[in-house]
Amino acid sequence: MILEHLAASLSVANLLLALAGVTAGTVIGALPGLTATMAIAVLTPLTFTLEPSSALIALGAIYTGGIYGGCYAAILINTPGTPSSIATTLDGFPMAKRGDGDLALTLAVLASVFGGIVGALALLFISPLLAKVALAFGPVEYFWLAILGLTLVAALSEGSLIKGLIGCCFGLLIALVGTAIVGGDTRFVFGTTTLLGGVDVIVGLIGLFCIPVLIDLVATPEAHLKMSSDVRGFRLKEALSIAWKSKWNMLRSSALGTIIGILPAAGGPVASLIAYAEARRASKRPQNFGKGEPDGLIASESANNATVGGGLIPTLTLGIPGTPADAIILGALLVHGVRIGPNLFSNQSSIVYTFMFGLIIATIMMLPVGLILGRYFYRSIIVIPKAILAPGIAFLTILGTYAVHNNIYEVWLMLGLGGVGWILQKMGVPPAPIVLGLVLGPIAEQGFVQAWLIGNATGNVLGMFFGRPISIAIICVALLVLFYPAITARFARRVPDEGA
Amino acid sequence: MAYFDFCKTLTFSALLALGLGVAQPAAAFPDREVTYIIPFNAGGESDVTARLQEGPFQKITGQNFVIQYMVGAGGATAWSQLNGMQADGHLIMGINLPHLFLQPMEGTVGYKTEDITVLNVFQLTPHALIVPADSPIETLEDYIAEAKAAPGAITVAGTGSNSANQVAQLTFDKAAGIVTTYVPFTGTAATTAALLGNQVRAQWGFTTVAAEQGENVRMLAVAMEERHPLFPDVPTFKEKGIDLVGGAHRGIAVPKDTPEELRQQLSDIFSQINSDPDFRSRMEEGGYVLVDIGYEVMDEFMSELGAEYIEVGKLLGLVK
Amino acid sequence: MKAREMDRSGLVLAAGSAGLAVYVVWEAQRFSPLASVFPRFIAIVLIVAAAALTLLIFLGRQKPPKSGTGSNARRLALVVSMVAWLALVPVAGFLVASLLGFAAVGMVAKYDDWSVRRWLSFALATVISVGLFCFIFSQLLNVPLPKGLLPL
Repeated sequence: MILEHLAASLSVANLLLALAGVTAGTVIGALPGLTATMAIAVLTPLTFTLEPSSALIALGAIYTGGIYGGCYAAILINTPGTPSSIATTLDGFPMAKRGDGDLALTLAVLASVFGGIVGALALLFISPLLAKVALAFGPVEYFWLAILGLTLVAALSEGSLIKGLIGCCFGLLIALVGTAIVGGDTRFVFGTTTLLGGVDVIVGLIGLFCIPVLIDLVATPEAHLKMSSDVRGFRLKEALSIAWKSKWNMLRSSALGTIIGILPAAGGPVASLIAYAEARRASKRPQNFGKGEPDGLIASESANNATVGGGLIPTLTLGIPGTPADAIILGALLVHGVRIGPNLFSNQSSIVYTFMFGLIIATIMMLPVGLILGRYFYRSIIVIPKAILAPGIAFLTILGTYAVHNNIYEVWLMLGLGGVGWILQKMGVPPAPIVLGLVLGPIAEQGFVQAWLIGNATGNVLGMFFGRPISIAIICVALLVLFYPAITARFARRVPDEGA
Repeated sequence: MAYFDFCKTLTFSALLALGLGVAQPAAAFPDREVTYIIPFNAGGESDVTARLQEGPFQKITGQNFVIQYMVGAGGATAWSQLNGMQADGHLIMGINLPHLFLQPMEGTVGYKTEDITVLNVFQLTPHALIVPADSPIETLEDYIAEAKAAPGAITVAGTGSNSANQVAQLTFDKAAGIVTTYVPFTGTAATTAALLGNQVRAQWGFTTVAAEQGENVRMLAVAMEERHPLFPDVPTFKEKGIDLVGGAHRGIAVPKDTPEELRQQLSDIFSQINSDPDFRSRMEEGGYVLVDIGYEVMDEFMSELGAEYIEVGKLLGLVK
Repeated sequence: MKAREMDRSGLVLAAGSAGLAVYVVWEAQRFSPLASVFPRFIAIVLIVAAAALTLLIFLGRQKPPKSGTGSNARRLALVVSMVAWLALVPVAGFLVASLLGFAAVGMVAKYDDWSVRRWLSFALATVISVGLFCFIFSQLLNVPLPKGLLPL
């Protein structure tokens, strides 16, 4: 019976739609400021003229392409194209900087396709089971998950842990700006209406990552990325052998991405950051992370694409969208007259299964599309002279930030954050911990306050925070991430640090 | 079905374009596409409603919507900029009540309730008190009894602080003489997930949540004058002796300089959309209630509702 | 250890952080209890971190960050051009401001001498990239780009 649906999704029209969707999504995702969410929002109306199942395939393809596309900007200009690829910059850009940009891009495609397929298979086969995970996660679990993510600050601080911590606090403070969801207070808005809505993560990302790159780009005549003299093609063989060596990393990151993608309040950025932290903990070469370690890139990229399938699990089984992009897909389904929710799998199963197979097909198509587009982007960045590359990036930061909310004041905000970010970088505070705080701050705060309210109402605040099984598991992992290096160092004589 | 409608629309617009004598209903306005700004995320109730309105709108006027999103601060980002936008009738913005009343009470949000020219309020999502399907709380009486037995011990989720959901919680608790703990979440998705996962005991939501969740949840009562056609077995609060009727209203507004005659025409178009049978059934299936408050009665409606929300503001502690 | 250069910028960072933390604590007084927990907590962490950083610097345990190379004049010129670019948007409209801004940043990043052909191709690249992206954003992605005061 399932094969029937597979055949239905394999029609020529659907295949073409998947191809077009992946390509469009990748290109949009590659531009800083334009996210997968925006790609879907913009392209959704185009699907209203299609059959519901074809429309769904197109939307799924755009989504998966959009999440993947974020890695181009992350690797080539050190700016996450979408929030989901924050962790990709950490090792992707150093790789590109030393002349391995082509390898990094090929690895990113492989990891993304792998992660995407794991997520889609989970969606296809174990949705109802995994939907329970989404529901088992209460406020306190979100709080601890965010704390687990924040322990990553230790890994993200280049050189000085204490400076990384200060950066992380800055990020957490920036995240407080605006009207608080919990409590309704307006905090740190300085009387402006622009700040009422808070500092959007994308605005922060572009400002903190891209502007410093740009400022240093114009300061010297040297090429942006190291050029390699010989033409090396896709370096697919090399990439495949690296990917094979880190197959467990890829599998673990994809599983983490799928599970975190299921959680309605977490999503791609959290998934890729936590997968990165885990990959670093499990790695034999943790000291290389942040200096161009392929494992870091693989972890981030496989995790963020796994969130696509993961996020669709609660969307399709519970009618609860896992990510903002899923919310749009859900809305589009409603407009198409498809009733979502608990009964979707039984009542309209043919549409659902066609969609899931479509998603897998689209993910597979990402391989050739990604390889070709990646090569093209890489070549362009290398070949384009600085006098055009610099204004091009500057233009895209302005345009991309403006497009987030169609608000020119946010562009000013982005530029201001960029200036501050550059100064902080010169003081030894890298942008990654700041952004970590910005992304995880709201999740931590809301989870904490909600858990406190619930614990207080039931008269068991301590039990709320420390007595629930999933919480205990997350706390243990967080402690492990924090102290694992110290523990291993006690048992084995530490290998001399290569970097220092 | 939707596809068929699309074909009809297409044919219709083609006929219009060819000038084959199909009378255009609303004179020469609008004479090009209309920008429809949604102050909330894509995929939300406002967005879905707008998308569903587009079909009938095309049928009536022969023009399209250009839907844009201007998200931020629970809508305040968009509403505070509305009056500076092009005021030629080809730009409309979604509005949401009680947001328009409550936000200005909270402090500087960049606009005042009376700054916003509301044209038409077309939709209502009535408050509903919802528990998980496996909850021991079977009826509204159970809920009240349990809350009385242990004041504050019942946790009830809702979307955001100072929001429609919290308004319902406070109003209901006051009328029933009980105390519960309100736990705000971000967005309907997170709120509903918390309910389904039994993280909280109950949820203040809208009938739309119950329409989406079906058998997973049980509605204890709805805040309507009469029972919702989709849920004939669910009582109203009034039946249970509690005066709670209302919910979140949605409608459209225009920049303040939009000419008077265009305001009326736009309002009429949206009333006409509301009477489209296909649109009606789609909305009702989703748990929405269509209302028809046109521009001609808007002042009265807004001032009546405004007076009610002053009282609510006192409950929330926003108005002293 | 003493021979090492002291991390002066680190001291500035610590002082700035402490100042920010004090401001946050002061602001948090007017928040509701629930909304003030996090700001206060972060402020405390920030103060502790600032103190620790100061201590480490005086103990000589903190390496100063690598100082950047390159032309600070060009860095400043870039920032000035981008500020001017943004300031010009409400007046001249997004398209015109971006054409000028693009060209200005291009000049900031220009290092070699150009022939007439290079100049022409630069002008062409400016017009094409700005025009193309403005068209894509405003027409295909429905982003309303500011039109400015010029009658265009």
